[in-house]
Amino acid sequence: MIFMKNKKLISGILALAVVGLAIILSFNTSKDSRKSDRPNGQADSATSSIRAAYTLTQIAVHKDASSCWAAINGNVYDLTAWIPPHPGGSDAILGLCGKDGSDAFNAQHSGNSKVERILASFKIGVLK
Amino acid sequence: MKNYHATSSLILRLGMAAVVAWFGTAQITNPAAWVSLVPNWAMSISPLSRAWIIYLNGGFEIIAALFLALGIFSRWAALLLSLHLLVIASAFGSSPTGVRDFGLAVALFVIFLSGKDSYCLDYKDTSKETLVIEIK
Repeated sequence: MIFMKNKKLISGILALAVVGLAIILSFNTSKDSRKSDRPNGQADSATSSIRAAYTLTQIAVHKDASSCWAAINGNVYDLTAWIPPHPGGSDAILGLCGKDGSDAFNAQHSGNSKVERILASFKIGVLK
Repeated sequence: MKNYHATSSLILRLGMAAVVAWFGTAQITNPAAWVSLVPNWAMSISPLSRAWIIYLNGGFEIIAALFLALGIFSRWAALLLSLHLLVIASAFGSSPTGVRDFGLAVALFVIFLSGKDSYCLDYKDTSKETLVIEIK
């Protein structure tokens, strides 16, 4: 009875709570992503180091969400910032961290120019 | 079995609003991760930078999600978001992202077609008004 009388009030509060929770969760996810985004100022030097060459051993060090590098089709990418917003889920990116992810990438996105353009924005060098 | 039409509409509205609000906030708080998703055609018709397009897109999504959740102009918020997601889905094509956004767009279009439910803040119970007129 009380619920019926205050139906709109309760649903309004519920609506604000749901949207608020979504905003807080998203904000925290983005904050974590920014924190782990290319440590030691690498973000600023990403463009200049785009021709840097890395070995698979060097890439293997960056194997988790705090720093996620992957070799794909001969190039090296820092995918740390792409883990939370990846449309196919963060696990798909985490599975590539520290590895040569060419097979996994090609199986999912081969020939998709849009995805390749997105990937290119994370390039930090080439595979040695 | 009892029909929970109003409650199911509320749940669908809140669920969709939460998803849209999450993505809108993610764009505003970390636009760098999203700029690569701005299509070239959007750049060609807009004088704004990619980052500003992401900010505006994120802001629009948060505001529309609030309207949708609260049930204020929810039909129009749902229609705008549905069209918005259809544009995004068409840009991604038949990739997992494109298919997912298409599904979300369809769900939002269903909210538009369903109209206001009794939990919407701008809902008016017209059946009572009709009853009063008939008594007079």
